[in-house]
Amino acid sequence: MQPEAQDVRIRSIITAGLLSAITLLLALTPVGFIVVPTPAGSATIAHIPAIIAGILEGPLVGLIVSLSFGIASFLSPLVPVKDPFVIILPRLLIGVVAAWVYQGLRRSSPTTLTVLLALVTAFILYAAYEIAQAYLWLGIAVAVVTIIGAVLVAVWLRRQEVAVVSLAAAGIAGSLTNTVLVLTAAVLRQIPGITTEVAFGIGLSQGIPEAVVSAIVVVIVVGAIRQIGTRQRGSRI
Amino acid sequence: MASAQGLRYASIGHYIPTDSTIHRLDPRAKLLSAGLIVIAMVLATGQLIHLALLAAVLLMAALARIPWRFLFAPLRPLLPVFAVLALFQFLFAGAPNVAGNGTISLTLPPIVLRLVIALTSLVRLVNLVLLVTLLTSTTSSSGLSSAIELLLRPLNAIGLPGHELALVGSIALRFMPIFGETLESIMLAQRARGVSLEPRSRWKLLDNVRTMGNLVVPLFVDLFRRVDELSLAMQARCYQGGRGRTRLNQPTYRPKDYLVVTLAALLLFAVLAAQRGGIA
Repeated sequence: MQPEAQDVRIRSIITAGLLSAITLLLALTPVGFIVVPTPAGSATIAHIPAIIAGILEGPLVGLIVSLSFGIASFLSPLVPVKDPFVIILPRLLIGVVAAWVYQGLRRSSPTTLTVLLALVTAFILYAAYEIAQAYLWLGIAVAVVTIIGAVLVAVWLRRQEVAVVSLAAAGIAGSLTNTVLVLTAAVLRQIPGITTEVAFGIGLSQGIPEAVVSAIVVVIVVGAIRQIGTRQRGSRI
Repeated sequence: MASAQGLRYASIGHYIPTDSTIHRLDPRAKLLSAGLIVIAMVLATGQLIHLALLAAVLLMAALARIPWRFLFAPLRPLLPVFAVLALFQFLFAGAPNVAGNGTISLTLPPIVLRLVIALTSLVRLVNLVLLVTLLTSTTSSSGLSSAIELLLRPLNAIGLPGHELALVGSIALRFMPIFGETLESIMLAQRARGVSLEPRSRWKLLDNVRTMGNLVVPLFVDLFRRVDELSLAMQARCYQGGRGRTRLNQPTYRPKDYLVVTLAALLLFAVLAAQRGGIA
């Protein structure tokens, strides 16, 4: 039986509300943070509910949960910077980007995914070339890491379902949206202590681990809920 | 992460009914004033301004007759993090001019200045936590949600669903402590199964993610079971959204509500003026 529009609406409202509750819990208490002593504060998993909201319920619910994440970070004592244009506005896009990436990739074939991977790799290699113009060794390091990563991901791509791959991609995209947009906003708004170099440093040192963590957690959580790639059902708690 | 204790006490959002003057204010007035004061706290950089704001919040808490114990409870689990942040600020705060306008004079030795900067940011964080605690402990969650809904009503004209957003907000506030408790029982359940929840060295990223997954996955599975239950319950009660809905207690503005909002606005302007004039 097809659920009525009003039922879908109720479900979206409740999902948004409950995921916002978890966002608040993760953002306002130390549970959701891996404290890293950098000017930006700490590595977080509090943006993951927003990504999951985008994946499971679409861009609108993703946007609402992202807004909760923004407000929670704004109120959070763990985030020292208090500028809504840095803390709230860029974060609105986390859930939206995750939703778009997931919806875009979900129905694609493994070949399309491989082509996309090649494009992303080429783009990063070009960035590495640009970096190498300024700092030779850094550019080479980035290039080597990128190639190794790309090969690993390509192997993994061949062995996984498209659903799992698109979940991971949405997790990474949502997480990187957070990192890149917030840091860009911080540089543009000239937050004290965040210069372009510092922003790049934070982006690499926090953005990449956060993206990896977010990809893994999103795959596990959505997999568990949608029963994708899972074998058994566990206990209630 | 390591400690399950105190998690549920960390949650803001416990309503403490003492029926004080502040409790009886219109929730819209309280929400607006709190918003204005938050802006003041965020914009202020001067040390004395932050201390004055702290005094103002404590005064309001005294007026609201909130027991100090409850007011300060949310701070307790945050203290270690605050300490790390303050230490970090102390060690790595930029040159003193970073602190901006309205700060104490630069005649102090740098080490004292750094200490002052660190303590100031600490006071600001404490201020924000106390203010939010004060708002949620003097305003019931239904009051808050109807305040959000009524304040967003003008935006219905441009298609923003005020009622639905308010519902999302009140579900979030209501369920935050519940998920805190759920997380606590998940931690205990996983411990009982012999799962180690201690974070390992920060370089063992995958191990730490797995540790976190042991907590987060059951939490989300629980969440989506609650989604099913709640939406079934609301459908069974014929929830139809905000249209045509009336409320039992229609909030009305009284003179003292206008007075409170005006006072909060004045406070914000005073902070801005003090900032600009370099006083404090």
